[in-house]
Amino acid sequence: MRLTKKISRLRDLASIQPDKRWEKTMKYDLLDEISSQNRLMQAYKLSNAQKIDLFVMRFFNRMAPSLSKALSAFLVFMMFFGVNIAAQASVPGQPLWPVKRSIEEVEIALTFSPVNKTIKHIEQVDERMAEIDKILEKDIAVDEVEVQVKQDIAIKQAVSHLEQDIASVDSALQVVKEEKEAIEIVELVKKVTSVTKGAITDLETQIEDTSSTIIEDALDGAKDANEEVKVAAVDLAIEVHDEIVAETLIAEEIVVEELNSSSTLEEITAEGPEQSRREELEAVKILVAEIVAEQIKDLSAQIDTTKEDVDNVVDEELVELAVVEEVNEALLEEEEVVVILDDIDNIKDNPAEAAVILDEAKALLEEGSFKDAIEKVSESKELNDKSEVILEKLDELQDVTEEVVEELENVEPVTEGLEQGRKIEVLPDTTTSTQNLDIKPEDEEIIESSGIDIVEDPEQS
Amino acid sequence: MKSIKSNLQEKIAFLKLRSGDSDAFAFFYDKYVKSIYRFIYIKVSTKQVAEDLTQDVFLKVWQHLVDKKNVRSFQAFIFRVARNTVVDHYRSSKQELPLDYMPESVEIVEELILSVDKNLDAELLLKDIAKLKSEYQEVLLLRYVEDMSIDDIAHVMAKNKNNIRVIIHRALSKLKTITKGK
Repeated sequence: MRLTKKISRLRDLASIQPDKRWEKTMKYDLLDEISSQNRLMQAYKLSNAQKIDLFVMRFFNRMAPSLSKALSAFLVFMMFFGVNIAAQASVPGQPLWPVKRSIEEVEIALTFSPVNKTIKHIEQVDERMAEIDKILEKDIAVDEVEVQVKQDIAIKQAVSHLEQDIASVDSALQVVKEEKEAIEIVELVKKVTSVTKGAITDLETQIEDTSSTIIEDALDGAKDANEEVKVAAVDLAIEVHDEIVAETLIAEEIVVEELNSSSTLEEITAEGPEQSRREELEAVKILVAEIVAEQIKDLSAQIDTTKEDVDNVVDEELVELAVVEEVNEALLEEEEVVVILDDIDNIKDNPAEAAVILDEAKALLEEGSFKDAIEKVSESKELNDKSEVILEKLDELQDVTEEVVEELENVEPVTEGLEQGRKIEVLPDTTTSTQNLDIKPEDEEIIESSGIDIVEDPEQS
Repeated sequence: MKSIKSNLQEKIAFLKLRSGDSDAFAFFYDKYVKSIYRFIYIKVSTKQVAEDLTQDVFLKVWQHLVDKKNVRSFQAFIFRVARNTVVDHYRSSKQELPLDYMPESVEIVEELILSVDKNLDAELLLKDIAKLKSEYQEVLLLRYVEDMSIDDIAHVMAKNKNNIRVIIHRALSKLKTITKGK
């Protein structure tokens, strides 16, 4: 028997295993021992306050009848239950909202499976979005300043907690990645991308609808947080896919090695771990392809919108800007206008270029190169985002020019009280240029008494 | 070869284990009990002794980590503890360490094969491997059965990496000699 075959056969020694009953029994014995040691260590570590609490609890357990304990527990539960029901409908800024948040934290603490924990966090993200919707649906009149301030504070609080929940989804997903199978991870990623996509769409709508810059900034922050988590989740799914591909390749190499040294057909065709690994890879591949395809589809819609905006809006606004620039350069920062006009020229072709890059991403997706496809999607998005930033600047500039045009229209030339009078030439020794002044006849006496020499205009006389 | 996922899983569990988490202990127990048992069994050749020593190994590991002592690689650490536990066992029972192949150790080999319930290939292999000296057996087991890196094997056996490479080479040559003609 060749040595290489011997070496590969060394792996057969893995069949030496302990008795299963002994293995289980020893595990429980060891865990019991460990728990006792832990309890002992805990006892030594109790602070004075904890020791007093422990004593009081033991005393109460002995002295108080069990029925009253059950009754008090029941009352506490009912009160909690009633408060819980009321708290569910609350939003940030309302007194019961902190109770609602505490209940959510307890629910998370009592969830042990990392997959369920991630799902709970996702549900909380949805809840935060519903709260934001509820806060913003209330119309506030312009003069209700106090109410507006309260709404701003409530929104900021809701957005801050939304960002926390989004970050928790991200961390929970990382834990799932360490502990769970590839297919579970990728299924969860799909849920996360769906929720974050919904949140981003809702936030964009609310940003457009709001007139408050404070709320707009807060919602922008939340939108960015959602985008980041969505991108991280997609990258995670692709990483998991690549890992499982690598593992399958290694396993197949080992099988090929054994194939070369093996002499029996049964060893080749027997269904083993390789078969289940291939099935897992196939399932993961399908899910990851769906996730990447979804990203491509969303970006394609964004690029179409940007292209429309660039084509339709730019020419009219450029004309308006040119008029204002000509009329009143002092009120606008000229450099800023020039830069933006230059940028607008540059972005005209951006949507088309972004669309071309996205087509490359689609081709890579079809080949199964998910990592390269998602890189192309990022590249295309970056280009598209540049156009959107410049279009936003253009919108801001348009607002400024509208204000300027309004101001100009409100300025009237002063014409009242001017009459045809004598033109007065001011003597050279008082001014550097000759100035002609039109004065009323009744003001002549005042001027004469002031000591200013008046010379009649020969043309008029 | 361990995957990135598996390595990270182990790192997280290790951190939890150091803070006294019994679930993390259960994780490591499930992961290593068979390997440690196998390693010890091939050296001591008695099922009862192997079971007792395996239990000792896990208790020692727990104690060491809870005392907040640091380890570089958990896998290397646990195998080192296992190796030292076997040495201590031989010293305390005043048995001669089976360091070299001796004709009289054929009896031990026979007992090994008869008492273990496994397939024929493994039986034959064990027969061959049992003829090697202890050091050679260890490197072959750790390298080709437990899939350990040269670095970790060096840590287990308290030797440097070059030494380990030489020992592996010599062990394979010796095994080739033993199995020549089969």
